[in-house]
Amino acid sequence: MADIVLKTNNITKKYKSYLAVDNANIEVKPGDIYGLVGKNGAGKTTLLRMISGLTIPTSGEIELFGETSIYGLNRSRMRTGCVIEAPSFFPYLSATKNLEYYRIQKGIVDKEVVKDSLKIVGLQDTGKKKFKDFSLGMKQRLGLAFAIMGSPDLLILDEPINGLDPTGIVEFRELLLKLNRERNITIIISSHILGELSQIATIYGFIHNGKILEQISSKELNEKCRRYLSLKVSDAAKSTVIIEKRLNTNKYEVLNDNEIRLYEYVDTPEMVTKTLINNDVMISSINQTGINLENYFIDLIGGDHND
Amino acid sequence: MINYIKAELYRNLNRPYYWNFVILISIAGLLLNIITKITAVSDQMSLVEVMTIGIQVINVPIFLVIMMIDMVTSEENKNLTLKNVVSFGIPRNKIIISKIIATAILSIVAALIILTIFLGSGTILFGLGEDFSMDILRDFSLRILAAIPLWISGISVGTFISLVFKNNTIFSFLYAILFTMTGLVTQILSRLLSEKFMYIHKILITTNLMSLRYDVVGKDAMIFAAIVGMGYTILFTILSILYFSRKEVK
Repeated sequence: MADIVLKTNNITKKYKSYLAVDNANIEVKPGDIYGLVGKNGAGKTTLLRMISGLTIPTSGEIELFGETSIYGLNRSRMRTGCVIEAPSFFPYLSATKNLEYYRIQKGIVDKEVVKDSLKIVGLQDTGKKKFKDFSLGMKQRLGLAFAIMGSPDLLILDEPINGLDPTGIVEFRELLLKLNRERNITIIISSHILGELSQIATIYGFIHNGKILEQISSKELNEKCRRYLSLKVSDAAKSTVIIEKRLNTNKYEVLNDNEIRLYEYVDTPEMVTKTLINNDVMISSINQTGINLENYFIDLIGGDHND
Repeated sequence: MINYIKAELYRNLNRPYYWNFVILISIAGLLLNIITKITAVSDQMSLVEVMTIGIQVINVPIFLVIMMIDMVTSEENKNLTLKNVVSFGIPRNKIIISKIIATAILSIVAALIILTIFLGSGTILFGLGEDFSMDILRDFSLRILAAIPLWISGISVGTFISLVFKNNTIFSFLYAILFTMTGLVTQILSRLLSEKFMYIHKILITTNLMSLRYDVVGKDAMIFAAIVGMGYTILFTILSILYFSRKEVK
């Protein structure tokens, strides 16, 4: 399998004087769930539209499954399933007939694929109900069914959880994780709701004003966002023994002879203080440090917190 | 491309809208024959007269294809479903060519049904007539065959207009204006400004359709009409491809 599923090289889109995407570079590896995060108007949709061929880039290059030419990109896009913005289907056709139309168009021989795709997203019982009568959640599901039909290697989903109720969001998330795990489908998913992405993304791309500010794995991001107690003590070595024996935890990090980071008891620093003092360890300072994901993102884009 | 055409035929042949249209026009033709039968005119009627009526309305299909273009192309603009096709990787030029072919096939299927009902009911109601001969049938068939490229050229012109003007109303209006007024405009311009406008008039789709209505139409005129039709089809297909190749697909 190729090392890279998707790579963009300084991809740019300019509308007259407005720079919607500015020299964006992203890299998506096989099996990734790539969370593209940004505020409304950051350029997420424009970037995804360029990747899926709906918008022609002003400059830059897209490499999809190793292909960069127009012909090669078209061929590669046949290995993808996309839902860009709101799912669009023919309002006078049912779910089955809409998917059947696209099955024929995609040249998928197996007729059962329509039924299977609808079953995976929970739309197998819609019968003759026309698309125009679907709820927003049902429309989103049909969009996903369309995208996964024919077992694509890459799914590109633009804000797919918009309009879903909490139960729907959980089910959608579980479904994406299942597809990623069982079918090894690489997924690019955009959202302005970081909290939702944090539950599934393995890698993040933060986009703001058309620029990719940072591309970071979820592991690295969690490390950066991890909360801890920052302790300045008289004797770090003695303190760690006390922490292990009395507080029953080894989730700490010794920075030097007098500084410790403790990753537990973050919300009960008084317990730590009392334990150390009772065991003759002097504490010169104790601080709760670390930020949540949302604040990490806000700091990255240089915004204000509403704490 | 074949798959795309098959999919378009599946979508449109499965909709009541298409069949309602075909049935409506077929009924109009049938009613015309029935009303003629029950009036005093029917004594002079025969299949030959029915075919003559058919030839006299040979320019009407150029307006009827608006419905087909609406179904195949305009609807995708309206429902924003083109993005599903483009994002799948079907080349944009193939999308355009497939749309024109699919529209043409749907139009031909409709035309065959309508003509069969019209001519069939005419034959049943009025009989072949004493004037009927294979020469008359051949002449009728050749005129229809010469008209087909012109009707298809209307489809390619209409497809181009519907790509440029997504609004259905504007598209229909522009299309109708183009095919009703261009002939008249070129004639007026040839009188007011320069006779050279008649050269343009001669190569208009509607002019060539009208020429197929004459009492006598030579082989050269039919060939010329067919070539004009093919020329417009090629030109507007290329224009559509060029326009669509860089277009942002919503």
